Amino acid sequence: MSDTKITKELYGLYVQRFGNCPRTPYQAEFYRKWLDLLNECSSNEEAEEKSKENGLYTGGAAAVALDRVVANKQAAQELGWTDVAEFCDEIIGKIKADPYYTFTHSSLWIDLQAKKDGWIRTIEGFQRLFVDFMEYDDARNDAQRALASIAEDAKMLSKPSSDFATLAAMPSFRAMIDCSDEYYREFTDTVSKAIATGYLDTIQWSAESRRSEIDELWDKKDTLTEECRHWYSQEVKKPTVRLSPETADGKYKLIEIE
Amino acid sequence: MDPTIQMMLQGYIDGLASMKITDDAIRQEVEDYKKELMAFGESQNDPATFFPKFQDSGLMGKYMDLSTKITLAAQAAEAPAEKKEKHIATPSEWLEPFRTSYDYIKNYPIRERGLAVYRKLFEIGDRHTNITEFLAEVERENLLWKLCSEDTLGILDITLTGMDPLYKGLTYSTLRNMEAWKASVCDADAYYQQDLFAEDNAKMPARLLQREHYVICLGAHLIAYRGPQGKERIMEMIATGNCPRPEFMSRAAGMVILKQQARRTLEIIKKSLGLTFDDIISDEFLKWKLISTSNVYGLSRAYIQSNPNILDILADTVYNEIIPDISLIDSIKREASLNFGRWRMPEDPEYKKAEEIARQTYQHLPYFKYEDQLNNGSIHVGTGEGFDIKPLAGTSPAK
Repeated sequence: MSDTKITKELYGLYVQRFGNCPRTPYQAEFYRKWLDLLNECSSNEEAEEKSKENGLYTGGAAAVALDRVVANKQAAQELGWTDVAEFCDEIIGKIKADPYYTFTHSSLWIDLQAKKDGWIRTIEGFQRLFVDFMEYDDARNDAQRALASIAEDAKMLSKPSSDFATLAAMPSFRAMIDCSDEYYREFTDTVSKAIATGYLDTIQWSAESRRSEIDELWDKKDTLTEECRHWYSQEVKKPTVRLSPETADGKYKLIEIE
Repeated sequence: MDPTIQMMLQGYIDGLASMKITDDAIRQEVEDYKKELMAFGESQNDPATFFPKFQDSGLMGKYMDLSTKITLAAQAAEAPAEKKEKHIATPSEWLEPFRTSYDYIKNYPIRERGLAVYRKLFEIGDRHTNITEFLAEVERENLLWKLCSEDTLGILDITLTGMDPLYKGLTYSTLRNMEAWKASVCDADAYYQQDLFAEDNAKMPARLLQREHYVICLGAHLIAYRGPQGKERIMEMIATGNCPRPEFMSRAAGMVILKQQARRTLEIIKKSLGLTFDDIISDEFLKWKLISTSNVYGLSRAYIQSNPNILDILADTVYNEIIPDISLIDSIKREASLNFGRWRMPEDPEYKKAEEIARQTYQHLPYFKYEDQLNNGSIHVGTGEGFDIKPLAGTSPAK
């Protein structure tokens, strides 16, 4: 096989792989142009010389960088990260104007990541607020602790909004919480109120309503001595190691520790 | 300027000074940058908060940009004036850096899937003398990308064997990451897939953990009510005759309140998840969240906990005491007839024994064969040109 024919085959393979991947339009185009050039020329050397004239020779690095940004943009669009997608558009424009832009401005990747982090932190903050609510709602006896956690975690919210109620109304945020619609409403109402007012209701747990029952236990404790001694004479069970199954359809195995 | 801050900034200045600057415009940029850097240093007085502020200021990014600019300009200036005859690498020469990588990586059998791709690459290299023919064959199988993806998938696959497979809140992250890598066909595709993964990974494991959180709350009430700090303590006081009234009354009142709280938690679980206690106790994973356990081996592969019939005791407590809301006297009377035995929490030497039992059980699993390699800090997920190296995701053992 002649060198040109092999090179055409290789570039054809690149065109195929990058053309089939929606993330790599610029590399697909780059190799397609090379393939066209090879088809126009009688040798690899001729194609290489011509590529230096039309800019194709040094175009690979920009194509790779552009595709990287395109990939980031596509993910951002799919996830609704609007500012990330807009930032990607800006970078694409800059790379088109200066093919080496990503090399001379490598800090742009840090800026890009920082923009993404805002969205991720909001997700994490929203979920933490639900855990704050669950912990508070379980006994509703420590409002101060709950308020402090809610205030702290609400600071994590920023994208697409820093307003808890706005986020809570969005289907994508609703889908992050594993509970009924009724309980979700309680969660959003309670946390919204806590953020707005800095106040949460508490339950004053008391045994007073069962006072007579407690007194009766004290008064009759001597009649329970036999039962309690029988219980007290029972063996103290040894702790156990619980071994997980090897596959997800298995069951745990318990082994008493001797 | 604070001397520690000055020392840190001097490192950047020295870094720039060590570079060969061939362009006057860049030289001026460097001088301006140094002034900006020192002015920033003067404005800071706390070394502890300096670094994050330095990052936020954009000066660190500017340093990276400037360094790259200097290097590129120097390379351009050093380009040979005369055109030399072009040497076209043979497959063997082209593969030389890959052999260096392979020689290093082969010390880590955990990376066998990646190593297999290297060997395939070398085998193809041995069959060709023409670099283009060689590259075409490599491209047909997308082997250069597989060097990265197969290596990562192999490590993730092995990591998974160290995890409790029923613990979806833990395994989800690794399984989802594997999906992302399997779906990727090149660097750019991996960036796309990893963003989708990062977003999903922020959402789903936490969502999966929410369900167990309710059950942990319920378990805490049940154990406090029924265990050595609750009913058992009262029975011990009666049995031994060492029964000071204040403690007795306080523990009895505690039992009353804990029963109310457990009833409330059961209602919340029903309202929020539609689950009854029957549903919880019949769920092979969820039911164990009722009790306090500690991971003793691998990534939540094995746990140590109190007595083996603990779940029977807690189920009995819910069905026969909490739900029917029986009196304290009835609760104590019935306890003696149950013959569940008394319980205690594990003690220190038992943790070692539990770990040994787990070690013997799981030593055949790949994660435990290669645990040292995974934990020595040299293994990362994601290698390959241009692609960020990411630490292993989802491997934090849940306690």
